[in-house]
Amino acid sequence: MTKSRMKTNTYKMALSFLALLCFTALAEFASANTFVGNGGTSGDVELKITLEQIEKTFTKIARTQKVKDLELCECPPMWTQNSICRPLNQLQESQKKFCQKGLVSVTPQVLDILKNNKAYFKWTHSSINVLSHEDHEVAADAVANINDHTVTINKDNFLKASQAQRVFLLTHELMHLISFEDGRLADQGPVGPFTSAQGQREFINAMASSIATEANSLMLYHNYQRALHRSQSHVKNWVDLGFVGLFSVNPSSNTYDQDYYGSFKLNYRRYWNLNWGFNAGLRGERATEDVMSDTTIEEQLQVYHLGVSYRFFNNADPLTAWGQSFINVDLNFEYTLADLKAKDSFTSAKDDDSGMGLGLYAQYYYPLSNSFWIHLGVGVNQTFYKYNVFNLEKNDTKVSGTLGVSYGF
Amino acid sequence: MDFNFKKYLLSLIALILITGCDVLPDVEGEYLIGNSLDSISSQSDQGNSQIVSFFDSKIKKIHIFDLQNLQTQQSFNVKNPKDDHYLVANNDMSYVIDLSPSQMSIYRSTGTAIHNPIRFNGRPISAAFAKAAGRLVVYDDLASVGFLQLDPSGEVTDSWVGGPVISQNHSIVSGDLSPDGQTLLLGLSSGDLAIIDVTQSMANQSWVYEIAPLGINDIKWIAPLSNTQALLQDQSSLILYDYQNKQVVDTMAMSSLRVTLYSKQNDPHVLYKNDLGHTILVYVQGGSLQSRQMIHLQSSKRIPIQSVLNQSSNVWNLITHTPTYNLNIFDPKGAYINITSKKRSAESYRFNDMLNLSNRELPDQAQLKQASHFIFALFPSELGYIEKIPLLSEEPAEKMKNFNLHYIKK
Repeated sequence: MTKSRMKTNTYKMALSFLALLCFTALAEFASANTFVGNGGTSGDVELKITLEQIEKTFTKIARTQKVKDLELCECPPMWTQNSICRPLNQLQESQKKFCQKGLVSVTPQVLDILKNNKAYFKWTHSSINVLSHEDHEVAADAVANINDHTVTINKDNFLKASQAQRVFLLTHELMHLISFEDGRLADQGPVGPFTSAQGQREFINAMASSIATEANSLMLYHNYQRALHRSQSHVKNWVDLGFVGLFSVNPSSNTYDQDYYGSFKLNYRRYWNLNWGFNAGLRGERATEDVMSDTTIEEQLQVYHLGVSYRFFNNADPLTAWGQSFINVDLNFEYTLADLKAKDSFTSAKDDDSGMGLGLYAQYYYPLSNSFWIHLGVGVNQTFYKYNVFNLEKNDTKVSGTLGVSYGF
Repeated sequence: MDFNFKKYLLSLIALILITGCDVLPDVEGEYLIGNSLDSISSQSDQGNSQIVSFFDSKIKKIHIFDLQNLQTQQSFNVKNPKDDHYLVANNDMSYVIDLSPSQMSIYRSTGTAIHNPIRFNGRPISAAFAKAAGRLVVYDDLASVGFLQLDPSGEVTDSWVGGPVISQNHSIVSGDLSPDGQTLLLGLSSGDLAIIDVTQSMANQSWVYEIAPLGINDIKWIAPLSNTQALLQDQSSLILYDYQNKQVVDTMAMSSLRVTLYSKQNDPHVLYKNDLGHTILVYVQGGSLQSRQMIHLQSSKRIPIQSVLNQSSNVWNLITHTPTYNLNIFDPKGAYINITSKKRSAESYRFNDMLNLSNRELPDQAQLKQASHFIFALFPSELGYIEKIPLLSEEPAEKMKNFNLHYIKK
């Protein structure tokens, strides 16, 4: 096969791959939806964790035969100073009992909503205002719409809140979606022994506080710490640093042709949506070999690349490391600055050149914590350049393996 | 590691003697026919040509090198690359003769090679080559003498190998070829001189000779000055001898034990130390032996290692070195003195009044070969590195690098 035909085939392969990815992306866009909670945007993991914590707490209530043992609607001693417990600290005895009965009675509905996805959650960055019992607007972190069973959450405040505060918030909103005593619970008006103008709100808050404190008793905040700190894949910006080993798959018999290279790489990638992005970076490759008794051959390459990226996610639970992990594929144009030197104790010869090429790389990203990742990758690249001094024409296909760390932000 | 005190003490005494008492090292050139072998051939002396051939021991190739244009003209792979290879070349480098312990080869500029035109059982140790006549005499360590007659293209037209016994059971101890290649002068163990007719010897495949009875002891060194006269060194004197008329022309008392350097380059001459420790140059001028005390070398530790005298150009070029002696007491085999040759320098003099014309340091690690106006320095570089160091001027050396670049193999 001639060199020009090899070059043409490589470019054809690259263009075909690009076309395939474009088609896939379009298909992806056609079926895209804005349902929150699939782990694909920021806050999704925190939301999913909070809903699981609520579900597990209500499940515990459902399974407990003697509800008195759970000490519902009572503030545990360690939470006394916490603002979460404020609604419970103010309860009278009759209100406490009403709260306990209320929790038991709403448990089936809450579990039904959570297990069967009968509530929809939306994010907003805008401030949420609701009408108070005195008919003026007050700021809120979330609001429920009983007509379409949607809960709209202010993402910024939600992410700043503690786990207990999130559980409190969403439990409160879920209470607006269930039926109680043949009606709906609102933020105003009396109910049972909660006789004030905001009685229903106080009742809902008492139940939400109880769930929030009970979740802690069940160690749910502790159990989800790891998932919360785990790096999340939805972030758009990535910086990769890694070590690359490369070898040539078509070595020549020229003494100066190097077969094995070691390299470091530095790469920046940005995704403009969940799957598609671009990447740019550089790689410094080096090969050195001792020949005869006193001669050393050293080749150094600086490879600059720019290309498109696409990543594939699995459908696993985003609260797991496997669920956050993904495979990224880069198709890059590469520009290489090449330098070859041979030297012994008395003299040296050198030459340099530059060339263009293509590279196709795939990496598997595995999450660590605090936005750090490790990645493993393989790749293949082809570059063209010449060293006239050494009579060496490099029409090189190299296969590579990568191990590196990444930071996503 | 045991410390051998006796060996240490003896080595220390030897070191003191050597450094303090001017004890002389062995002298190269004695008991040979022609000159000792060299992996660098003498430079072509034809017109302005500056061509030299050399064996590159790093990549095991013979290069013919143009020193004027600093480029390789031709290169040959050698047989038996692990052996040492010594070269003799004719004037226009149309062929190069390669002598190695296991064989002889003739590499021709046409690209062809002739291997083993004559066979030796011994190891070649010296050779005499009459370039213009294409006549080569090779001497081995078993005292065999090989003759080759080559035409200008390097084709062998005649050859013969003779043993060391010439007449009455007296054997060869030294010798050299006359400039025209017709006569081979051989010093015999009897103290006589055998004058060999080279053409007839090859034709008859036996020694054809005349004996010139000299009545001297142990002819160690013979240097033909012309097709009629030669210098002979025996145990106690240097003799200027007319071998055509078979008569001694001049004699100078000079113990061979005091000789520091023999040279046949251009005008044959000898350097020796007299009883007072002065270095004396002895040469032939005006049909007689002349001597001159070398003031420059009198009190220095510099020892001459190569010398070229060209009276017609009024130039004398000398390469000296300053040896260093290191006592190694830690070797497990016992203490020994390590002599290293460093600080080599090239000195050029106007011969008639010995005015120093130039004095420059030479690189330590290179093999050196003197030509008339420059020194060829071959470095032990695998990639290839040569310097052409000018004599008689302070100009920097011209360098040729990386000529082995395409011969390097993994």
